[in-house]
Amino acid sequence: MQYLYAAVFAGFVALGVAVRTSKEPARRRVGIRGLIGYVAGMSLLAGITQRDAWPFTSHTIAVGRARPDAQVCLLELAGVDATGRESRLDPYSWMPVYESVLQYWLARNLDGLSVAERDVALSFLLRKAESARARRAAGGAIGPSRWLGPLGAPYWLLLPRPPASPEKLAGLRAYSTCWVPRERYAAPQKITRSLRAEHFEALP
Amino acid sequence: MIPTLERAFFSPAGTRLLFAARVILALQALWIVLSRPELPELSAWPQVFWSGAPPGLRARFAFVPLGLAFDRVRYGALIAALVATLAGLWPRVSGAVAASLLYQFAPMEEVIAGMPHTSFGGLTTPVIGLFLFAFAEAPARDAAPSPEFRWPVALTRLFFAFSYVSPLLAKLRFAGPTWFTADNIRAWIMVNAPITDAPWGAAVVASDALCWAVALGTLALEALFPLAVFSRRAAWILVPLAAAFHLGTALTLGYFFPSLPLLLLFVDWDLIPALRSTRPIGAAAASSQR
Repeated sequence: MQYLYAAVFAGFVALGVAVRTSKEPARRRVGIRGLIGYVAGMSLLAGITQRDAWPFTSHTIAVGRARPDAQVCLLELAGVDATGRESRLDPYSWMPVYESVLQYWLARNLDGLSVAERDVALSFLLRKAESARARRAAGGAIGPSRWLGPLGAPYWLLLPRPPASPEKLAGLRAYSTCWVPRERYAAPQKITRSLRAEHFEALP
Repeated sequence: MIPTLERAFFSPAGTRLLFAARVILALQALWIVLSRPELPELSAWPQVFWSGAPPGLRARFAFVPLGLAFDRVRYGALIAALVATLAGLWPRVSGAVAASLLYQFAPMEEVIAGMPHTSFGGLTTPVIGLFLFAFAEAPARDAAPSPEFRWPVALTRLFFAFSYVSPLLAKLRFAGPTWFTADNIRAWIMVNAPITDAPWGAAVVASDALCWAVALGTLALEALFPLAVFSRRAAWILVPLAAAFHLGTALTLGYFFPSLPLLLLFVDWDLIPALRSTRPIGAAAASSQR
């Protein structure tokens, strides 16, 4: 399928190059009409079939009937300092990968990793998280505000950003966190958490 | 129908429309790219993270493992190409280079997870738009009005309009017309509230009228937005409605729309000189869209 999607994009570029190299006005106009039809057709096809041939994309988000009575589970990472205290981490700690994308990756892949692979992954994430925490704790910026300050473009999903912990991280824990939205809406603490993985190491 | 399409895509336009649209696309892309300074660092992530990105996906976006230094150079080249496009320096070449590099960099944020939401990253329309502008004529600043300055802008607008049409098609397919009801809007806010803690969520959930307004407003916007491509009067209504919709979505659901500045593509920039003078370029372009 990936090669088909690549071909869809290549088709767009090829039609455009044909327009660009076409000098005779009538022929060029035919080429432009073909390009317009192709862009409109592929965009419509992506929308109808809900196949994401990005950049000809299906724009699929929040499209079904929401189910506030069905259980929702996420795989969340928490930072742990040397005293064992847990803290929520900034969602931009792992940029260029945003927290929700990382959660998605962890949910799909964590159980399939060998012990060694899990150690490599969690060790890397711990170092990223500590680097981001230290930068923020020292008054620096991470993620979209690193270069552009408050004018930086946030990731599309606006997750809350907790203040940076002043304590250096010593470990990471991955929890499977579940709740029923309608219940949690009424009682925010009504969640269940189960530890899925943890990793500790002394960072320099 | 055909005359409407012909007018929308091929009525003569002044150069100002083309220049303004190119600047908007380049600025939008530059804004997103400079907000993601860590993009090239992904190539230094351990191999284990790439298990979610099959070889076909990597090949599609030319993710070649040539190292961090190579990707930093590519990222620098992308910024340079966007600045050159913005400044009008060799605009077709710089635009094509920028679009090609955007095509490779835009999926990087999500490629390890299989790109579930790359279309929401704010670079989708710039990729297509900058390519279209590279395919079109690059006019001299004082060039006479021409269809060559209209069709790339109109096609970029049409492509952008699908960011409203496609979600409508998806909602009708997966939920049917009942998506557009107060109950469903309330349910979506409840599902998102524990994750995003959006500030207006509770107020909207508590009001049937607000939930219905969101539901019917979404239906109207997504169904009617393509009219903004073909009618200036429709754009006057739909573009501000879209801006309000995206602001509301951020405040009630916590979904930011990074492509918001691209609504400026629907301003007919040829009108601005027409308001200041009676030059035929502006007047012709203004009357041609009515």
